[in-house]
Amino acid sequence: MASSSPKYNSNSLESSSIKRIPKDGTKWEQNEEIPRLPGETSITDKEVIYVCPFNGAVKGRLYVTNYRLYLRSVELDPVVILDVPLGVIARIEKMGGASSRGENSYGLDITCKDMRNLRFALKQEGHSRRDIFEILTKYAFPQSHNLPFFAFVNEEKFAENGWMVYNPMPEYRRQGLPNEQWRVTFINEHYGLCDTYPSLLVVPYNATDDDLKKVSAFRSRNRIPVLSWIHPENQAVVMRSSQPLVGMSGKRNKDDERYLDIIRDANGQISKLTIYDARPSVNAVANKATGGGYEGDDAYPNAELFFLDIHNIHVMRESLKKLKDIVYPNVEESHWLSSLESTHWLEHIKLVLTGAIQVADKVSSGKSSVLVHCSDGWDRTAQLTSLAMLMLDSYYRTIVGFEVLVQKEWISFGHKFASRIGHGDKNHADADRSPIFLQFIDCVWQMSKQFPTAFEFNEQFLITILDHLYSCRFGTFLYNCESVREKEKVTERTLSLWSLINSEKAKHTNPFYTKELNRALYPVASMRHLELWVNYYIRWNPRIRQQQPNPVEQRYMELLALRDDYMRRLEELQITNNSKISNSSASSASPSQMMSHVQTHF
Amino acid sequence: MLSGSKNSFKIQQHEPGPALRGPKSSAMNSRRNKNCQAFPCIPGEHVLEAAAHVRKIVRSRDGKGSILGTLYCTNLRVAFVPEPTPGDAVGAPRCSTRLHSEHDVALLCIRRLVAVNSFTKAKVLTASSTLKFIPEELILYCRDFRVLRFRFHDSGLEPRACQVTLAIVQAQGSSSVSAGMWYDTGAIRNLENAWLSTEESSSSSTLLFERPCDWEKELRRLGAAGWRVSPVNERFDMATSLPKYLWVPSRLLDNELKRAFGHFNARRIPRLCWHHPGGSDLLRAAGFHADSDPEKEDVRSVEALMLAGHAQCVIVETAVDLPSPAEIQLSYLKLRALCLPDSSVADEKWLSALEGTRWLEHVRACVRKACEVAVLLAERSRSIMLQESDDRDLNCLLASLIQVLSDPHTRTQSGFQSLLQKEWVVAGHPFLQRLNLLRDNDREESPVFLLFLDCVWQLLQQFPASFEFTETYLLALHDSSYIPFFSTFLFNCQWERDRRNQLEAALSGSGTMYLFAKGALSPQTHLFPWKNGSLSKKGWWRAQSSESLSEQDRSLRSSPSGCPLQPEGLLLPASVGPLIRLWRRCYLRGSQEVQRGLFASTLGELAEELDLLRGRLTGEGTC
Repeated sequence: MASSSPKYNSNSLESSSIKRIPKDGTKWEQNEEIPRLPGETSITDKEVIYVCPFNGAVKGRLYVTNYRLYLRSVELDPVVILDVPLGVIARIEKMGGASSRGENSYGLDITCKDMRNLRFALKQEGHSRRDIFEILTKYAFPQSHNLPFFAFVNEEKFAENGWMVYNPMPEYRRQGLPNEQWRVTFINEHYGLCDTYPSLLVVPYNATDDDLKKVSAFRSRNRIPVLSWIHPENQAVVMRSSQPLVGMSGKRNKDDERYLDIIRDANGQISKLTIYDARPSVNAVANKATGGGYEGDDAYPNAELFFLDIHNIHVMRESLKKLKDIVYPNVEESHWLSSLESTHWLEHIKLVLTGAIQVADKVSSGKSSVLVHCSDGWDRTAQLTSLAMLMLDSYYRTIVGFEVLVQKEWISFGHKFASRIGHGDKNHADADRSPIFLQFIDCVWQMSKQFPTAFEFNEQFLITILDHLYSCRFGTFLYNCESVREKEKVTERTLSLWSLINSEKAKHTNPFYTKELNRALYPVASMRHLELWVNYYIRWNPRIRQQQPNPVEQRYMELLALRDDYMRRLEELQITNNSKISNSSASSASPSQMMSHVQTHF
Repeated sequence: MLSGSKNSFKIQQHEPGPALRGPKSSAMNSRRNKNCQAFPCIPGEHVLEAAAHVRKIVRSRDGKGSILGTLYCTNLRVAFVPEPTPGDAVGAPRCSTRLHSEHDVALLCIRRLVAVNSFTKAKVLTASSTLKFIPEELILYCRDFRVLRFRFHDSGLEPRACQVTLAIVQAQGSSSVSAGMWYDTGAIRNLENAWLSTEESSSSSTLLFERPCDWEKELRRLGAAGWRVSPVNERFDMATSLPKYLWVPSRLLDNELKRAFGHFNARRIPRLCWHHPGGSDLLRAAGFHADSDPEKEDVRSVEALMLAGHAQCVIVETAVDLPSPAEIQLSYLKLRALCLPDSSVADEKWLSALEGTRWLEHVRACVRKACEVAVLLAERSRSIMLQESDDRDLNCLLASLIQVLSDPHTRTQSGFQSLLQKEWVVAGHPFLQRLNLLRDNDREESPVFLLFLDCVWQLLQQFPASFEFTETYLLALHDSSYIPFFSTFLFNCQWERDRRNQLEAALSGSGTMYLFAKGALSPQTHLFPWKNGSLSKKGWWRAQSSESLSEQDRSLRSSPSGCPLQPEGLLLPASVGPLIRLWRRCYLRGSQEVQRGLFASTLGELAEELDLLRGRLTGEGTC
């Protein structure tokens, strides 16, 4: 049977590593082109009607594997393909009952984590719906059924090993650490000090491990202030922590007070240490009731505290829910802008960016060390430190640098990906879920729009990251913290998302990238200059069509290919020439030397 | 010819000297200290007054900063020349004169002048006002959404501050006396001649539609076989606001044609705008004249004109669904108030305030309606007549937007300029009134043309690879409509322009050289209630609903690549909420805190590197 290329593919999850496995028993005989990853096994398939909100009902066959849900329409013109990793599913509901009438009113309604819903209508006979419902539930929520994540059975092979991308020691060394003021401590090697922190921490040279232990008693979940980034010139640092355990009675802790003073002192700074509390002040005060709080003036005379007014995870979750309501399935037409405003999504983005700008500016222009915290220091704090670092350090704007940033500030410092995303967990209404990481990626996208030449990666890179935030194909975002990941042997038993991305870097490269060192970028955090990320949030809507590729971008790709060709030929020629004239003049540069010379203007 | 970046463009520097004929300029030159270069006048320009050590206030991320320099007032503009900073490359060649830079503003582009003194309230200055205090700061509100602020140094240079302020006020006040005066200063013609001498190719490819050969040439390009160029209005005796030459059905003789004029407002009869390769014809006309009697014998020539040999004529009532010029103006004023740097709208309320201006709604309506007509044209062979009461505003917009969607040639630079000439300038869009450059009648002001440019920008966003020109080009066009250095936007119709030119017999036969496109037009037509165009009252013919139209465009779109571009080059833009965007680079340029590099020079650098590699490759190859 002649394969026809799909004209309409509603899923942008792409993978060049997908292997087209030929026939696999009788079940696959009708369709030879069901994509499957190595390690992916088929579970079942079924005739269904896909109730597409854009193109109406589509009759097709639904295939379920241990990794994905795949639908192919019976009609070939146009072929409708749906290719959805099961990890994306947040909730599966039965719609209609045995007695419901009306066309396509009986079936399954699937809510996805990536801004869409899927609806399949089934025939009201036998136990057909019950079977498929149970299978989907089982494989979409493996954690609730004692099954492993697909990442643990994935047998893909990649040219690059993404687990090698981040190693804390080389990253701190890149920053010039340790130095006379800052040391590396292994106090948390077995997660004894703090079970949600990484094992390796950078702390002031003048604070002993004993001091750290005392401080940890006064910080929520023992998340003491540790170094995230140091300015290469003025030595001011970005520190992160959780809130101090001040409580209703206004407790004080001499060790914590002294520790913050050591931090202030480390870059020889006379002015006060700046503390950014990401929360609205009301929330910070309210936290005292549960034993938390903030650094008061009395206890910390050498510190200055600012609140950044960023709301908590629940507010963000509700905001995204509202955003979904106005973009899916139909885009709110008549009052688009005011509807968008009423979701407050961009306003939250603005507040996060504004906070990060303040942190970056304080360190860079103010030459002052800062401490950032929220309540537990794993949501808003991660957003602020990582965005500030992105503004301050051009290394993080490269593909690998950004991977390091995510790996360091988010994954190793215990952003609770498992709880926030709910990987493989059927409890869709869990109050712990929140799109904090998505919000961070949105902020990065906003920056890349305002500085189109400053980032080595493109929009596709960010979308790929978000797709695999949910897919459970890679171990990268699984679990809440390093200690659990170590226990589950994630790096040994799963693949890293960076393996996929770094194996096909060209696809994720921004052709307009101009390498610039040591320039701090300050995006404009004003509603006037922020935009909704249409290509992500509304990508399922066929009316929001893919724009034409930028012609300059295309030309750039061609020129890059030409350059690679020249480089290769040059190398070949040099090899032949060198063998002809051995010991030729020292002035003839090797291609790699020339490469680095020539590339200086990038 | 357009070599500038961003919103500035450059022309060749001319030797100062004869051109500098201002009474004070030579004295000024000698007085100026020596590291301050002579003010680069353009031909015909002279300096009226200048003040050194003025600080231009610039907003930066850290708050307010300023640049030190000299403020000039010339007979054409207010200009600020920054002092070279020590870090500047010595003798960096300034080989070009900027007509329009971030530091300059044409006098006609100044909307409001405000003088500020810490002891008095801010005072709005007009030509008749007297300055009763020494200004510390001069604020120029520009029509192009910029706000320029100059602070005068407080070290005994106050008289100079007064003088330059008064000079600006006077110059600005008198600048609007008449367009003719502007035209007569010779500056425009000198400038246009300068263009002529440097740029010959562009003039030859852009059709000005002033001579019959242009009309013939374009008709041949369109392959409109059943049409001819009629010189019936050559002396403007049929209709003063229509062009000299009209495209009319070949079989209709001029004698029959003449009978049709009386049936239309301002005698603007239906005539061809564009011919679809598939056979359809796009026509435009004014509304039926109130005294037109459909029972009269000569109505048959009207009918012949409208049907143009087709079995069906669809009349598109341009005004339906589209904003009126007054609504456009209202919306534009709101947009400007919102986008100015000193707007009082809270940032959290920005989106709803933007929606409240209705500007994007108007853009969307135009794009959508143009799309619908373009689909009708492509669908099957028929004649479609855009009808607007006076045929001088939204008809210009809709007719040209439809052509941009349908005809790839109009998406080239010369094609676009020709389009502006044809549908706006010679078609009689009252630029002078609509742009209100002379500030003589605010009631007629309406930026219909700027709305059109915004619509084109939306298309450019959605189809970047389908246009030869860039956003920068559109910005330059936008700006040039407020810069009276080119005669394109200085007249209401071809007749007025011709009269002016006849008075100035000095003009050579080749006529004036126009910058981009001379456009003057009247836009806005509504598409919706279509009725059967033939007057024989076969009943109304309603168009499909929006829904069914979108079905149509979906079927048209389903090309295998999923690419919305049709084989014959039809663009069908999306007009849903999120895809009609604010033209930030145009409207938000007043907010200077934006720190961004929009265009990388990376491509150029890559080309350089390739050259280098190529050189090395040949070196290695021969060694």
